[in-house]
This record gives sequence, structure tokens and C-alpha cells, in this order.
Amino acid sequence: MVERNSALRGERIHGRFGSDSENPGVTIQEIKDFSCLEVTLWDRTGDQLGSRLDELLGLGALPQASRVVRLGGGLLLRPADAALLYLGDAGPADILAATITAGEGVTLDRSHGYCYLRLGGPCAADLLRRGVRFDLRDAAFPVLSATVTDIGGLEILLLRPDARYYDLLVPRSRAVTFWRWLTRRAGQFGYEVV
Amino acid sequence: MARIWPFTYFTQKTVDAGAPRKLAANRKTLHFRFNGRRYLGETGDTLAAALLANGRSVMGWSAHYHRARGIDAPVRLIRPGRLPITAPAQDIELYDGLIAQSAFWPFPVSLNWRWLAERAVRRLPGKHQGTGRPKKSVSSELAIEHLYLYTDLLVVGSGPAGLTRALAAAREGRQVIIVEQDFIIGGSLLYDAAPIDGMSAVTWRQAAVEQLSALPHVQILMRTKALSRDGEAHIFCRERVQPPPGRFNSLLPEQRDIDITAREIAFEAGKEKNSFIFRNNDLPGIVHVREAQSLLIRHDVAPGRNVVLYCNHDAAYKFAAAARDHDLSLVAIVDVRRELPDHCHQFARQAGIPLYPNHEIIAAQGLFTLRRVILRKRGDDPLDRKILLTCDALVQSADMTGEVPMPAAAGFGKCFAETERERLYTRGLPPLVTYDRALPHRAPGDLAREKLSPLRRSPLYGVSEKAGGQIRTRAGWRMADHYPLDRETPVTAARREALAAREKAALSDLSDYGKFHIEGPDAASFLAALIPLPGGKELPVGGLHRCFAISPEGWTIAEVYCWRKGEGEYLLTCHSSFSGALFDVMKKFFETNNYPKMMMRDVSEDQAAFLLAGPGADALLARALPISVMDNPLSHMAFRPLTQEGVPFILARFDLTGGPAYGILTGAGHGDILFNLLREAGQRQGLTLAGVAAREILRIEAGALSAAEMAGTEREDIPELVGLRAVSTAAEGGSAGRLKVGMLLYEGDGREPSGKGIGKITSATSSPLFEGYIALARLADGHARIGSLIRAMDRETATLVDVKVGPPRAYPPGKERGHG
Repeated sequence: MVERNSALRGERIHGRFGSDSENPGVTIQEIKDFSCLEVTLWDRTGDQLGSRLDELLGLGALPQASRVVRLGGGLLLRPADAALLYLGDAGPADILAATITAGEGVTLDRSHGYCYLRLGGPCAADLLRRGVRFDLRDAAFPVLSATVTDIGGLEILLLRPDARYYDLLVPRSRAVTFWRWLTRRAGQFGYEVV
Repeated sequence: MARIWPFTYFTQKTVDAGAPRKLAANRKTLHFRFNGRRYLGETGDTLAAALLANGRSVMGWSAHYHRARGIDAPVRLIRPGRLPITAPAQDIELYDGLIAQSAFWPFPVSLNWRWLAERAVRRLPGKHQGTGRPKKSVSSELAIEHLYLYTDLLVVGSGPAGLTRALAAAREGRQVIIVEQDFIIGGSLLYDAAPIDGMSAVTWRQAAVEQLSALPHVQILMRTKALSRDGEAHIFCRERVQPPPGRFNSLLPEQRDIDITAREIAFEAGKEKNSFIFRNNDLPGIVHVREAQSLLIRHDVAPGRNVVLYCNHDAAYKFAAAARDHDLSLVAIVDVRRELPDHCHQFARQAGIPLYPNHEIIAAQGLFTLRRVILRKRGDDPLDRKILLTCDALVQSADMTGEVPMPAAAGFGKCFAETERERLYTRGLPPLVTYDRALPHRAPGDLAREKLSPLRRSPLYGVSEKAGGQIRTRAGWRMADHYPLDRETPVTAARREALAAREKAALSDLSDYGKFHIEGPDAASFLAALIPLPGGKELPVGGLHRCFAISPEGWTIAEVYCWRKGEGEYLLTCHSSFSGALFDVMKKFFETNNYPKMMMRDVSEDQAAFLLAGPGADALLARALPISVMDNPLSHMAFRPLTQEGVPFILARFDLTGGPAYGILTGAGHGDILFNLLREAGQRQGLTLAGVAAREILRIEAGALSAAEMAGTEREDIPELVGLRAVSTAAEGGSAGRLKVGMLLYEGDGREPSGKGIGKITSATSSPLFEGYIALARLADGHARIGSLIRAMDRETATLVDVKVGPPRAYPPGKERGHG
């Protein structure tokens, strides 16, 4: 498979920028080769699927709503009762796609539809507070949480897979618009594109 | 040492005011300009304090009531290359080189010869006059930032009460945000020397700030003003972010709109400016006692030379004491109370200040600034004697619990309940307004939110731009409109590209088309309800069907292509103008009916699509792809999944433009790879890149309707509506015989048009194929009129154009369209 071209090609320039470029407050990384697999389940519980995935990939249980679990080299989240979304390496995505039978549900590869960004650094949460309207404090949005949020009218999937960074899944056709907003707002903290 | 105009100083006794002392020790002279004039100030000054020290008490003008305004006047800070921000003069921190002007000032501020010369040149014939609206720059986009904060306790005000409250909560481990509109923390501690907890105000303030700084989860927002509240838990604040030039940071916004959600909100602002209401109580020179104390003690600026104190409580006498200590003589103290405590009399006697107990001020007089006040004895005075006191400053403070006289008729002038907000006093308004109650409520959603551009970029945006495409916005997408050759206009380029699609081969971006993936055991029955196939036949796998989507109510929604990709797996594609409406109807139908085993997703973002049209398309594909389309040809209205150089894609054969054409669908991230592949293969075969404008010419020639036409909402004044742009650009080369959207159609018997007419043009273009203008129209008895002559009239110019009615599909000739 040929590598996908990034939606940010020509926009994303590696380096340090902004007010404190020596000690950037934010690091921004685009994760290029990722698989995004959307699973729609006919049975909302997904019990059978959960146990099969446990055998194949060591997944304890399917995630609860708005929660994320690690699956192989990626993340599995549950945006709705009857839906799962896998983000990460292609391997588990292929296993997941092959595991789901027609009687259980269907899968759809959405890898081309999104731009996957990772925000790290001490000021990542401060930067997100410039656009995200909900509470980002640890108690309200702990590690391994996910939510769909709105930044300036743009619907974005926001994940917190780790205490050190936030992941954002941005619609591809508006990724450049979002990137420009993000880097402009990040300038006051100093940022590094890695 | 109190400064008083014209920037002279009293010889001075010291005052134990604490904090201001430290500021005073480090003061430096600053230069600034206000309304075109140069002034001197000192570090730590507010703009209002510095202007007062320079003898300028008029700082603005009321646009609403056309009256002079004082220290609370809104002032605009001017910074080269940045957007001006507006704030009250008393809130603006002075810095060296500050340039400011009144937000509204009806008089000429200065004679700017360069500005006059530029304006004169712009008015010369042939010179561009401009729109008068500045271009949006990066700095203006950065100017306002939104911020959303959550906390356990929000404290509004950083005076002694606010700091105490914040300290107590922070020590309990709660998260605290303190909002302070000043640029120094402390509130009244900065000018009130009363001891707290056995410590001087300065020491106490310093200790409180140190403790707060050491505690985690405490955030202090300086220069931030609470503006409104939304319910019990939300406060909307505005922060003036831009620091003075010494700490200039071009990456910072100038203003931050902050939405704070808190479990508890404590209003400890303490700055209730309860004022007495009398005629002209807004004149510059009339200040509240707190402001006067702040000016005198914190900034060493006297509010005037001849000051009258007007009060109804003992605390106001603190100002009189401070004034005495600064050698500022008071003209008089007017106290509305009938019985005064002995210490008030004693103080006035010792200080030698005339005291008027049981008196009230009924009016202030002065043209632009305060010149004198009129007072009278309260109660029934048979002589109704009035006393005139000449003064240039009136310091007033009305205590809510004390007596507050109602305004009496005393000549001309207006009474204001709130001078800051220019709220006129009426009988219905309460005379005293506390800070909390004055904070207006706002409805949720009232707050202007930051909006990112809603425009979407085609996956082929970059490659199209690189190939020379002129990017325009079409139905919400940024994509190539046309690919001009040397000195080619947009119209001629679009005509050339459309002609190439008929005679040779043309490659065009179709990524804006709506694409919907429908899959599951129930997908077939779902689609059968919306997109009935002729005779109820089932579409074969790999088959493609062009039809109309019909809503459950029987309305035609859109013209769609239905692709059957596998068992229970379908793809619907449609013109971008239909995609929103189609998805909405499908979603509603899905949600209101029982299709438990089906999923439906909008995958327009996920896939790049392009069109290869023209007689040379087959040969080009045979050259570009290792699988030979010629050896194993695709049948009409069929598609096949293929892989080329590791890129999976779908190749379909259809008649989107009425002529031979192929559609190619691939992942959005692979679109430019395939696009370049076909482009390189087609270079020797004369492949032409075609933009959306050419595609629209082909659409009109093929008689395909846009969503606006189907809904009857087509308008000429919305250029980005697909199908209408070709009209406005086709006006080049003279308007003779020109057709355009909105033209009314009349019987063509040579008579003058009358009545409502027989129809209206909905799409029009200059067709290179027919070498003239063609149009789509709604026409009464259209089929019966085919071949007849009618007339189209431009309502704006009353121009008449003779038109021949043709079949609904102009290309290919003689082939009718099967409309639903």
C-alpha cells in the first residue's frame, strides 16, 4: 500500500516556533500512517465480539461510552452504544475487520477521512482551552477518555490516551484551517512541530 | 506628593499609605499622546490619572447624549499594525509611547498632513479609492482569543475581601480563579491604609499575594473585567492581554474573551459606585470617593484644585483626611445627614473646612467640566436659599444605608443613575445600584464565539494549484475553478476546457460530490424505499444506476448515482449542491424507521474523485493503467475496483456530462497520486485539465439540474452556488444574446411582454459547443413548445432576447432526459 499524502502537506513545517522557541510549551505531531476503522455493531452489547477480541488481541472488555482502551498498538473507543472506533497501527485494525462477522456488524475504513494530531508539552491543555468548551481538568476528562467536541464550529474527536498528550482527529478537508488556528494560538506558548 | 495641573507638585508631608510608596520610589517619567497631543506621565499611572495630572479632565464624549465624559470615558488604544482596543481611561495602564484617543470625539484631534495628502490623491480620477474597510491580516485574526475555564471558586475582585475568600478556599485545596480588572492586585488595599489583622494594608496585601502564589490551583487574571453572567455558574469576562511595549509579544492576542464556569462565584469587587443623583452628575470633575482616594493616594494626583466633598456617611471623611495630608484644601464638605457625629464637626473645624450638614446638592454646572455646584438646605426652607460653590472637582459617595435625597428640579441638565453606562435616571430606576445587580445577565448563546472557516479543501487542492488552477469557492469547497493558459480570461478558459471534454479528453476534480456509504443486511430495503429502481429490479454488484432520490413524502430530493459495491454494500454519490439535503432526508428516514442492521456514513471527506471525459479517455486510460480498459472494457454504467502502483481505486464508466466519461474514486490521501499519473499519461494525448466552471458548462449542456433549481431557490447573487457562476462569468465579449439566471420568459409572437410570463431561466451559460448562450428554464407547457421561439427579458435593463426552446438535454443532440 502506498503511503497516504498528508492533508497538511505544505503547511506542516518541522521546527520550533513562537515566543519561547527554546523551551516550547506545546509539541505538535502529525501521526501519518494510522488506521481508522469504524465498527458498527448490530448487537449493542458486543459480548461475543469482546470475548473474541480478548482471545485474539488480549482486550479485556469493550470500552464503555466516552472511554478508551489500548488495543495492540492503537486505541479502541466507543463513540456510541453500537459503534466502536479503532485508531492506530494497521495490524489490529486488520484483525478487527476480519473478526467481525456480517451477523455482528460492519466495518468501514475511515483512514483517509481524517488528520490525526498529537498535542503534548506542558501547555497543551492551556492551548486546547482556547477552543474546547468543556472541562479539561483531570477530574472531568481523565486519562483514557474521549469525546467529540466543537472547536470554532469544527467537529473534532478529542482523546486523552496519556497524561502527557492529547490526540485529535480532525476532518481531512478542514485540517489546514484547524492547523492554522492551532499554530496561531500556540505561538504565545512557543511550539515545536515534530 | 500630589500632582496637580499643570503638572506642579505640592511641597509635601509624608502619608503612610504603604503600597503607593513603593511604586512612587520607582517612578519614571513616561511620554504619551492623547487625542493628538503630547503629555507626560509616570510609571504606575492609569491613563486617567496621567491626564488629570496634566489638567485634562474631559477624556471623551458621549455619542448617545452628546456630553463631555470624564475618567470613565471609553478610550481607544492605537498600536501600529494592530487592532485598536477600547477600555475606560481609568483602566488603561500607562506606558512609554502610548497613543490613545477618545472612542468618540466629535472635534478634530490634530491636522495630519500626510493623511490629508493621501486622501486627496485617492480622490483623483483613476485612483483606487478603496472600500474603507481594512484588509483582514494575521494580526487581526489573532486579536481576540476565546478561553474556557472551569474552577471551584471564582472571586471577582482582589481587594481585602476577595483575597481573604480566595485564601480560605485555596487552603482547603479548592481550585480558585481571581479576576481583577486593575493591573495591580489589591483593590482598595492600594489606597486604604486601614490596618487588617493587626498588619498595615501593605504588609497584609504582600503576605496574601505571597501565600496565594505559593498555593497550587490558584490563578489570578489581571486586567480582566467581569462583564456579564449566564445563570448561577457562568461568568463572562474580558481580559486586556497586550502588555506594554517593553514586554511586547506579537504572538499574544490583544483581548481574551473568557467564559468561566465555577461551582461558586464570590462577588467581592466592593466597588459599588453608589452615586448621588442630581442634575449634571456626569460632568467631568465629579468622581466617586473611591476613585478620588485611588487617584490621590495611589497615583498622587489630585482630582482638582478646588474640591467639594459630598457624602452621607463617616467613611467618606477618610478622603478629607487624605486630602488634608496631601495639602489639598477642600472648598467644603456637604453632608446630607441632619445629625452629624461630633467627630465630623471636630474634623471640619480642625481642618478649617466649611461644613454644610443637612444640605444636598441639587445641580452641577459647567460647559464641559465642573465649574460650580448648587446646594440647598434639606427640608422645608421657607426662603428656599441656594448656595453656589465654585469648584472644579466634586468627590461624592452615597452610602446605601444612609439617606439619599431624590433629585429636585434645578434648571437644565440630565440626572444619571449610572454614569459609566450612561444610564439616565428615571423615577422607575432604583437610585442605588450594587455591582452584583449591575452585572447584566445574558442568554446562553449570546456570546460571540470564534468561528473557523467552514470552507473545505478538495483532496486535489494542492495538485490543482500546482498545475496552475485558479482556486475558488464552489458550494463550500475550495477547488480549481479553471486552468488558464497565457492571457486567458476565466470565461475563455472554462469554454476551452469544456470543449476539450467534448472533443478530446479532460480531467476534472469531482471530490466535492457527496458520497454516502450504506451497508448492512437492511441496506437494500432502505434504499428501495428512497431510490426505487425501474420495475423493482435489483442492481447487480458492480453496477451503477442513475436515478432520482424520492423522499417518503413523494418529493424529488436529488439526482444520484447508486453504486452497488457488494452484497448489502452501496455507495450513493450526488452533485455537491444536493449532498446536504440528501443526507438529512436519509438520516431522518433511517432514524424514524426500523433498520436495525444497517449503517450509513457520509464519506465525502474520505474519497477523492475525478472525472475523465471525452473521446480520448479510453486511449488515455489504456496508456496510464496496466490493466487495459480496451482489452477488458467496462460496460456502460458499471464500475470495477482496481489497483495501480499500490493505490486502490474504483473506475466507473458513466455519462455524467452527456458524453463518454469515466469516474475515478480513491482514498483522499491517494487522490493526487492518481491525478498526477493520469496527467502525465495524458500529456502526449492533449489531456486538458478542467475546473469546476467547465464542469458546470457541461452540466447545463447535459440538462442536469442543481439542487437550487430543483428546490426553486436559484439566485444570481450567490456566486458560489454551483451552476450559477458560469452565468456571471459568461458576460464577457458583449451582452448581445446573453441569457442569465432570473430572466423571465414570454410568448415569442413579437408583442411587448406582459403579465407574469410563461417561465424563468434557472441556469445559463455560454456554450462553446453550440457557440452561443444556452439555458435551463422552468417553462409552462415546455414539451409542447420544443422547437418554438420565445422571448427572454432582462428585468434590470429591459433587454429582450429571442430564444429557441430545445429538448431538456442539449447534449448529446436528440437524446431526451428521463426526468423523474
